[in-house]
Amino acid sequence: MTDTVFSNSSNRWMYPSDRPLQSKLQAGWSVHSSGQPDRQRKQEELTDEEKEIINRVIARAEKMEEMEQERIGRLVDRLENMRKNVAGDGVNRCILCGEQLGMLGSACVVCEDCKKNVCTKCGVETNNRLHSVWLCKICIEQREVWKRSGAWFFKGFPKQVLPQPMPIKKTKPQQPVSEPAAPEQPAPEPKHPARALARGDSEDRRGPGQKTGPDPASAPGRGGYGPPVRRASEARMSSSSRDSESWDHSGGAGDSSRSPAGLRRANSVQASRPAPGSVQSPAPPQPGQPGTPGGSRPGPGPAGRFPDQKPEVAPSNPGTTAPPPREERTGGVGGYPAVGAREDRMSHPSGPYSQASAAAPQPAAARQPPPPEEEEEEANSYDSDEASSHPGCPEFSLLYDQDNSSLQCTIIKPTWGLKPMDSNGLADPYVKLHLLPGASKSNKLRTKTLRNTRNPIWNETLVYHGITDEDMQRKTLRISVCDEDKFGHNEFIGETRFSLKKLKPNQRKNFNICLERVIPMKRAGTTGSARGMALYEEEQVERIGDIEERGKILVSLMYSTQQGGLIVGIIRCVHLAAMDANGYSDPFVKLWLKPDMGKKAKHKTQIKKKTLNPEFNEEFFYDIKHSDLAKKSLDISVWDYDIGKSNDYIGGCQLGISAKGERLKHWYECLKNKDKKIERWHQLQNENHVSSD
Amino acid sequence: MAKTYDYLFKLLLIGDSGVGKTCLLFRFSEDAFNTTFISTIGIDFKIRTIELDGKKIKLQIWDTAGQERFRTITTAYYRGAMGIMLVYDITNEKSFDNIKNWIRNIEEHASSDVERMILGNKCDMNDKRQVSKERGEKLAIDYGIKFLETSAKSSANVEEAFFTLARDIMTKLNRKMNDSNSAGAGGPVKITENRSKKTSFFRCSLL
Repeated sequence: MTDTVFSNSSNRWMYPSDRPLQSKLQAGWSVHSSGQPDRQRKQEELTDEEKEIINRVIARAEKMEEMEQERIGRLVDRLENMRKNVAGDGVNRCILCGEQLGMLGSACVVCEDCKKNVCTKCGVETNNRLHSVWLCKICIEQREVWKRSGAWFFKGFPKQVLPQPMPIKKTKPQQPVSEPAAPEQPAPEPKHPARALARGDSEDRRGPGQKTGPDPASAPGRGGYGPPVRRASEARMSSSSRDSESWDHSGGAGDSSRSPAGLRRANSVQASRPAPGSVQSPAPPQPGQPGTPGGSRPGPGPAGRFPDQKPEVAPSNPGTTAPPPREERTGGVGGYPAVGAREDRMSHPSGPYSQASAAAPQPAAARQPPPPEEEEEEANSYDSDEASSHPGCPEFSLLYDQDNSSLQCTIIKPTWGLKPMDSNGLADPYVKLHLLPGASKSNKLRTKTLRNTRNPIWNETLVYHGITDEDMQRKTLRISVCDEDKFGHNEFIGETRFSLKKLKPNQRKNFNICLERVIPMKRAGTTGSARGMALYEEEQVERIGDIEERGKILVSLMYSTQQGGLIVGIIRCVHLAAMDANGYSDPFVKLWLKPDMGKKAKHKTQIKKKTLNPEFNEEFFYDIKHSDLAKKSLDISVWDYDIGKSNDYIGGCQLGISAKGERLKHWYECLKNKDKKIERWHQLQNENHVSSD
Repeated sequence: MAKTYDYLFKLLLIGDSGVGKTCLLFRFSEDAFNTTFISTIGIDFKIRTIELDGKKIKLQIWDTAGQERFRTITTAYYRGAMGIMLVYDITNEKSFDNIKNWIRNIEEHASSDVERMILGNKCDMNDKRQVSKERGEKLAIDYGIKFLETSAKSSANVEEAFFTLARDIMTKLNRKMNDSNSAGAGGPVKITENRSKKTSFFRCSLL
């Protein structure tokens, strides 16, 4: 029965009456002497309250499972790194250190698992039941990963075997959320697709190693227990074939596959798009099934080899079996395998839809392969030597919405054609925006890429949230147009800068500014890492003069008289400081109502992976009397989640009666206006925080 | 977050309604006891990290509702469990008799490798005892399962029970992973490069 539940492709709870194996179920034993009909009736009796309670437990478990998956991801990552760094051939040279083996060199042993030759320094003698065997350090690590991940038991990397939340029949008004788990409530909720997407995304943003890692291991699943040996080789195979597929030609930067997903996510959070955008933005039709497109991937992925495994694992666990980022991003509509799409493009450079794309951007968008790897780096590396014709003038409009603290940038189209960038005489242009000073990934927005056109019509609105009057005074908007290239070597077409000072609040202004072909100030090196560094330095330079910015957070406060407590909403953060080496953070927010509130005083949001503009939309409830609330203060802190070491503090702010300025005002207004939800932006500050947890 | 652990073991508590599964878990995870009976709704879980052989083991212990009407939900959690506690109430004969039904349930739904253990709970209530310790032991021996009498109230054997189960899983883990060399002998090993003919004598290993 369990199998029925899990192998069911929709992976939802079914009522007993819907259950195909119902008869089998009923034939089972019954603890209580009550008759079968009675029992069945009883089962259907689960009330909505009960279902909600169960759903909450499931949500809590999912959260834990996510963390566990991340942990496993790191383990696999580490293993992958070891594999990547092998120096020898495992025949005449030690597989690990590459030392010469044999008569002239070091003593040689054969690893029991991978059967490669290793020197005695890189091998470890372990005691088996009957005799001692040698294992190379990679295979030891491999075994360790199996032990630690639970794969030893589940004969494959454990899949999240949590059922979907149960559907609740009567449509309740979205109850004010009392704990972090609550957003994960029943299916019909509109939040769900977004959440599933977010999860898939968080998967994307994991290191490449993790992506290849779990795949091969998950393949055998429950099917057959291959020894670690086998999996080791498979993992290597699949990772190497992946290499040739995408990494190498993308410039070889270590984290090439990391950035695009993160950027894409940041965009979809930030940009409220007009219609064409929605075609492209991934919206998995079934929450919890973002993994399925991967199954059709012709590549080395396990799903292809073990198709029967797919329904079991993929839907229930976007966390582990999410497909490579490309498919994820193109989502349901444009879910073309990346490789296929590329080949497609190469073989029909001026294909049938090149015309169509200019006339009607919609189908083009749907078809489009996902955005390039490392667009940021690539665009800045700018290696085209044509500096011929005029790059074109994009038409755009800007609106500073003072009330919502947002800057809306609508990119429409260039007034005349862009200069051709590709050999087919066309271009695959996209527009990206930066706010200067402080150009960094945190304030970058980009449009989608339009394929094979010199007359792109984007009609896309990108929105910067949390823009203050001060920002408007001192910041400059950089609009750059780039050509997305087949292999990720994006070319810089041109850019224009616009000082926001010139903009009047709440007044839309249309522009037609010609692009200047500005060569980025620093010409980056050719290797991936050097390029990354150069970019980093450039950003550092640009940041000088900018006060240390930690970012901003949008918080809502409401005292609910009905529930007798404070509801704190953490909506989003923007422009967070990057804490990780990849230029991003994995932010989450902690709340602490001080003092003397005991254990229930602390709450935290989910972790948003690899983003500097996370959208949380979580609400937390504090059961507290209104009179007591006045004495408390709410400590909000944003952290960068790090596994294995303590979390980094990004910034925080304290709301309360002892606070000052906007913070005091917000708190005060909340106390004064019961049952009114008040949203405010708060600047994060670098207060001294000792403990992360 | 910074709390790291080496292994995650997933345990499951099953048994008739009212035998004290939730109380056992409450005792183990929070070292507390509550006499009021609140029937578990569907499922719940608690976490406790323990240390065994210098390894930090995070135990995720699933508590299930004993009530029949939640059976479909609770059985869904069998498969993810590495260890299952079968709990009966020594003052309730029926709950003891049902242990074999619960075992059958495990055989049907849980992983075949799952570690099991039988607990006779409420051993503090000797005056109301209906099931002798010997009968419990006998049943356990019949099934080849470990057995302990526990009391969530007096906390007798609660720690022991969970630690024993965790240790059994740990033992299985070590046995499996350290002896697995033989398991792969016939497995398809993909070889891309030419492998050296030279083999050390270690390769002539027996099972």
